[in-house]
Amino acid sequence: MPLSSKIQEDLNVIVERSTYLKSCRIRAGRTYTFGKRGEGQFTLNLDGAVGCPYGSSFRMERVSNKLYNVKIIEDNVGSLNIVKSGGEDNRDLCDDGRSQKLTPEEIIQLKSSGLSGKQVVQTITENSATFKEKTVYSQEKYINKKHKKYAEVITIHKPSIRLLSRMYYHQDPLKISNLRVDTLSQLLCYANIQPGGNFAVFESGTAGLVSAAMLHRMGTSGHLVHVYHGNHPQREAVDLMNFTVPELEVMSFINFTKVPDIEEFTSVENGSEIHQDNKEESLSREEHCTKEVGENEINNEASDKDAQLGKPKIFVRKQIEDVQVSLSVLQEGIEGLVVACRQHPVNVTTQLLKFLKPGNPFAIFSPYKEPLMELYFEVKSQNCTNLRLSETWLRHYQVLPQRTHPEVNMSGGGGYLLYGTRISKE
Amino acid sequence: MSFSSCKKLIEVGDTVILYISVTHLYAIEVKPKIINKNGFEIDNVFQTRYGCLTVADLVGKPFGSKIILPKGWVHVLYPTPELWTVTLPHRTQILYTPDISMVITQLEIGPGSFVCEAGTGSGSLSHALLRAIGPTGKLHTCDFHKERVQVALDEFTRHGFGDRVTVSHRDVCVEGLGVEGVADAVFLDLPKPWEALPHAVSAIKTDGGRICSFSPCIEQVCRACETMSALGLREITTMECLAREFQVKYINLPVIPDSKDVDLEADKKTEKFKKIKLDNEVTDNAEMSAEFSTTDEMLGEETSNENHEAKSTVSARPNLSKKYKEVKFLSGITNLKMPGHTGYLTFATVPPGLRRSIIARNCAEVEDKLSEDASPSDESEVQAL
Repeated sequence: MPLSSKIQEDLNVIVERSTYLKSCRIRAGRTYTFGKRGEGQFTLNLDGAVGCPYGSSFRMERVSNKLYNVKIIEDNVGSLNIVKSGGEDNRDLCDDGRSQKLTPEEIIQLKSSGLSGKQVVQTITENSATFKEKTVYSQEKYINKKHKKYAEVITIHKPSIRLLSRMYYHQDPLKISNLRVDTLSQLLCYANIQPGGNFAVFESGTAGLVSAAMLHRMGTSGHLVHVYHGNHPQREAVDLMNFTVPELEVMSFINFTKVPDIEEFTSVENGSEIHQDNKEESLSREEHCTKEVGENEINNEASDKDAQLGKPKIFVRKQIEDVQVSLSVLQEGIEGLVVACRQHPVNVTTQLLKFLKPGNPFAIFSPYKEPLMELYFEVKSQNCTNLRLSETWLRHYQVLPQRTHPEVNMSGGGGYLLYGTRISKE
Repeated sequence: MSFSSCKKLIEVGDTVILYISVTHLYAIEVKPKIINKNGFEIDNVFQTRYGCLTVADLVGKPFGSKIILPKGWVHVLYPTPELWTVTLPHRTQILYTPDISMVITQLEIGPGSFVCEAGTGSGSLSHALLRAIGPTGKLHTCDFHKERVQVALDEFTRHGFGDRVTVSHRDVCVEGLGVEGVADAVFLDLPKPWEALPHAVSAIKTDGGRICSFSPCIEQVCRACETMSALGLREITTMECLAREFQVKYINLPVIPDSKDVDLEADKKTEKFKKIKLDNEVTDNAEMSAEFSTTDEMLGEETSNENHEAKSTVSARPNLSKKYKEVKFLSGITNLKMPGHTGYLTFATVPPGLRRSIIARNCAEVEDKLSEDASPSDESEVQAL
């Protein structure tokens, strides 16, 4: 969690303009472009946001054609109060595309003439021949639609897993292998991710969102071994979360090729005999947490200035150290395993399951059902039980007086989960 | 002291999960002796279909162990909030993991968070919240039922979460949550959440936070959303999520031969083969018509030790061939029934600096307006479940 609740330079934020979300890192004097090329694109100078609380809304003040400064809105009133009265139904309304008197060029003119968003919308509705005859609900819908296009209000958020998930899913679900927010949430719960304790994750094809989410749930205590494939781990989402150094230290990286076969370690069950840090293992999670928090407090005083500058290092350890830490955590055994990959999960899962302490859970995500069905029998032969394969159905609702109904568009699918618990043979 | 520690061995006083089959899991408190209904202390023995389990035998065993019983065996699993949710004693209708997991993500709860919950109910969501906030966080949970408050507090303490939680006996709609300006997130599962919303907002930090209201009925949702809007909350979103499970099985389906494929000699051979296959089919169908879960359990118990043999049988039978009279494939079968509806989840953001004095005024205005609009019968329609 960031140290302050105010927007700071050099930290990431998420900029929201109606349904559009995008992340950026605030730097003084720089401008940022949002939106696809064309009408919807806009460029912002976010200097006016620094020092304001996260979650504040800002009015866009035009500087030039597409460039705006932002100014905080003190009292944000929601409704526009343009709707006064309307007709009964649409029986006499003719949709011939000629209701709007203003031409597209004239509307663009309105925008650049310096009128506020509200005034532009007002002018457009005044020039609509059929507006007065629409029902009041139809009028409100019309206004909201225009408002979304012409309004000049943005909100700046602190990055969070739910916002990042929404942002990625909205931009391109395939960038995160169709890992929808409900499936991601269940992944975290079924694998019992929590502060303290050892966990491991193999992630590929999900932009680092899974490890970012696990790191967020672990805080500053415990160990997360991030196993990856290829030259470097995916960590885009991790970098966007503004994790502090103590939070990043929880995670260590190891390439899948470096993960040894279990026989190369002396067997996990006997790990406590071989393992050097016997005393660490006998501590409960809670004691682990308070111990580490105590240490961090002492360290923080010294590195407070660095932390306040807010620039987290990308890798907190050298690669060799990362491998060492990862190996020692795996040797101790892990309390929960998460696998989320766009490749076939079978090899990765069977290899990493061996490090999962018996009695503890695992959860595996795949955008496809069939690999998980095959994996079901594989993990069963690896002494796993309480196995379940599921998918989730997610539907949003429009809730308005007299107009409540499920939304017209819906996600077709959010991926599949296989989860269960590892047990001992004897 | 078991949920929050990463223990290897079972100790007296731990809560453990006994796994018998995919539909039979039980939470057991490991106490060697219990008091029976006549007030005498007796050995704690747990009856299962595979015989009785002497609970004292669990002490000192590692989690994940196989416990041999007279007629079979069971396994002991580490307690997690998810397993607790499916084994806990219900005092009220509870929330299940799909909703619970969504709540935690949408409310942005993490280590160190201060969370308020009303009502506590049976503590299903509470356990997941307690895990998520970690040792440095705080859960302030309220219920208006005196006995539930006590039972919940006992459970939380036994499960090692005593330090992170305060359980309060109060009616939050009337008395508020009991805290002001400290919470990062508030969760409401109440019959009339709109009455508690202003209190929820004042419990949230001045820098802002997140609120969730869970309601089974759409009328409750409508009213709650109107109140949220009037209070000045943002990003008001309502959703519903349902999880669908699949049973993973190999299926044998007979293939109806083309009339052109009929060949007298081949037919005689295939008749014999067909007969054998049909017998298998009959057994498969019998298994399938019984509860899917029991079949899976049977399959599981048979194959957990003999899985290699099962696999080789599969590869011996090719999938698709004109000469063969049936096709074998791997399928994820849906259950005959699935959970259809639990409730609607509504989330909203409390923006920073939302003036609390406005809340009281807006709320009164909204309530006045709503009572003008509503006819007398509306109140009684919105019932608690």
